[in-house]
Amino acid sequence: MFEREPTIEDLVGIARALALEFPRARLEAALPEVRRLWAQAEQLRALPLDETGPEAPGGAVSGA
Amino acid sequence: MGVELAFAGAAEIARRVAAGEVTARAVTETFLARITSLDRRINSFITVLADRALEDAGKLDAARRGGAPAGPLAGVPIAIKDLVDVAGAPTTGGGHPRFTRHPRADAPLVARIRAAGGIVIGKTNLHEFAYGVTNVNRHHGATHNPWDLDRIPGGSSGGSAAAVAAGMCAAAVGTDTGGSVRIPAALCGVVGLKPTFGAVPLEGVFPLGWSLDHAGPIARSVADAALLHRVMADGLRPPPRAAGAQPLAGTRIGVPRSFFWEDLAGEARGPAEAALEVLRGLGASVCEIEIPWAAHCGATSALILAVEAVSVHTQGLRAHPEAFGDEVRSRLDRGFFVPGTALLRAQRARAFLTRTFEAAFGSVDVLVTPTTLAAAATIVDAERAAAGAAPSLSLSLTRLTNPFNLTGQPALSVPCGLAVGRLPVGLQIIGRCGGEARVLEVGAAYEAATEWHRLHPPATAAAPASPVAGESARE
Repeated sequence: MFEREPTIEDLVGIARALALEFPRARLEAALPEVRRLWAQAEQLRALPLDETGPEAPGGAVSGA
Repeated sequence: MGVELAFAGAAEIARRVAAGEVTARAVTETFLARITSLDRRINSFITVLADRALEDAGKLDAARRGGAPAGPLAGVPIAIKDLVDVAGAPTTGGGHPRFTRHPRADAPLVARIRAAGGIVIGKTNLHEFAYGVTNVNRHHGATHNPWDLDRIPGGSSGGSAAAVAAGMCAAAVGTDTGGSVRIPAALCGVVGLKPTFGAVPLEGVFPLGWSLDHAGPIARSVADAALLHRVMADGLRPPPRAAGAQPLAGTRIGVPRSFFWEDLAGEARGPAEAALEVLRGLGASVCEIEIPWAAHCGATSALILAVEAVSVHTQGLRAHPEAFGDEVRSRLDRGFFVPGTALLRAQRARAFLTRTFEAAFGSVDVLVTPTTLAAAATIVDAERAAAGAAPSLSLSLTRLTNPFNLTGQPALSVPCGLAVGRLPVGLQIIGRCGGEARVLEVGAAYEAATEWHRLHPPATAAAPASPVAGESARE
């Protein structure tokens, strides 16, 4: 999903693309949390999710 | 009467009020006096509703004298987490005053408590917008653990748990998105129940993460938690049956050693292992069980919650970012940077993990784990972690609880010992969706065989005799 951990410049670019007018200091403050989340998203690649099973998009995703 | 009544428990207080042994007003005055005396040091309440509570208690007493039937919570002082609407009282959410709401109606769960005779005594402190587990709160001050005032009570329902532990209310309402009822209950030595997702209505409860939020009771005993839950959930059914001599004979208890029993601090492991022996002694069949992929619950939960939470606060973050504490603002901001592909993967992982956990119940009736990896950290350590100078406490404190917010399964924390001789830790009992009764039965049987729930924080045992304060708010 991600090829490397995000840098502050990545966040600046994403924020600009989303029209989020965040000062750089605020993005720097959020960067450790964003890095952690992206790393967690990468961890989920280890799960044996069936690309055609019930957890696939449009399948029976639990609301619990 | 003060100390004895303060720790008598909700069901016993309701019984005494119903029997005419004590008035609801006297009960309310007792608890308000304890708040006045104790809460300067603990800081568990944001708003104390003294005038309204005394008025409601007086009305209840008058109705009783007129022959009206007593409800199951007759005259019981209940504290409400300040994330939940109470008519006529501010809902701060633990946030900056700019974001305070002024509801004109009770949340339905509060209305049910009032209809059952409960007296809403005040609104309790929490982690800012419930997005954290320490209750170190920039806007309303840190809540202190009654067992050690230098330590956190856990959170985000830390004010509710601390108030129950210190005998400043008979029971309380909390909310739980990743463990926020069970964690503070464990660290404060009281009982907390996260019910099945959807069992308690969340209308009038300010959201943290819509698909993960639950409301549940915090109380001095399993019976009291069951009583309050049933009132909050769907009305006035009686609490679960009393435990017998071999109350758990035939009950199959699964112990998921992998992940849930790994990385425990020694202080938490000893009491939890001892609790398994107690359960065996009560006739339960205790067996080890494997729940594959459980270690991925934390990542799944974090991704989903990040997006849901920032969705709740988008407008506030754009317009008044300075009104958030640094820790919570950064935690919220990260949600803006979760790609849709990552969220979708997390949603698929959630479905997968939910089926995995449901499958575990094919061979057992309940699961048992410690509630937390360790006892309460110091407030100083929590502040260092919030500033990024130490590892996050959220990751470690929610590790054993957040899986059941993902799956929606009911989970109960009961006191199971004192770490290093003075800091409470909890045992978590988890059931199938809709299986609160079984979870509560196991918890009640364990509780009846132990004395941990009878312990009080030493510093809160003195009976205050100070006059009742008027309605107040700490801002």
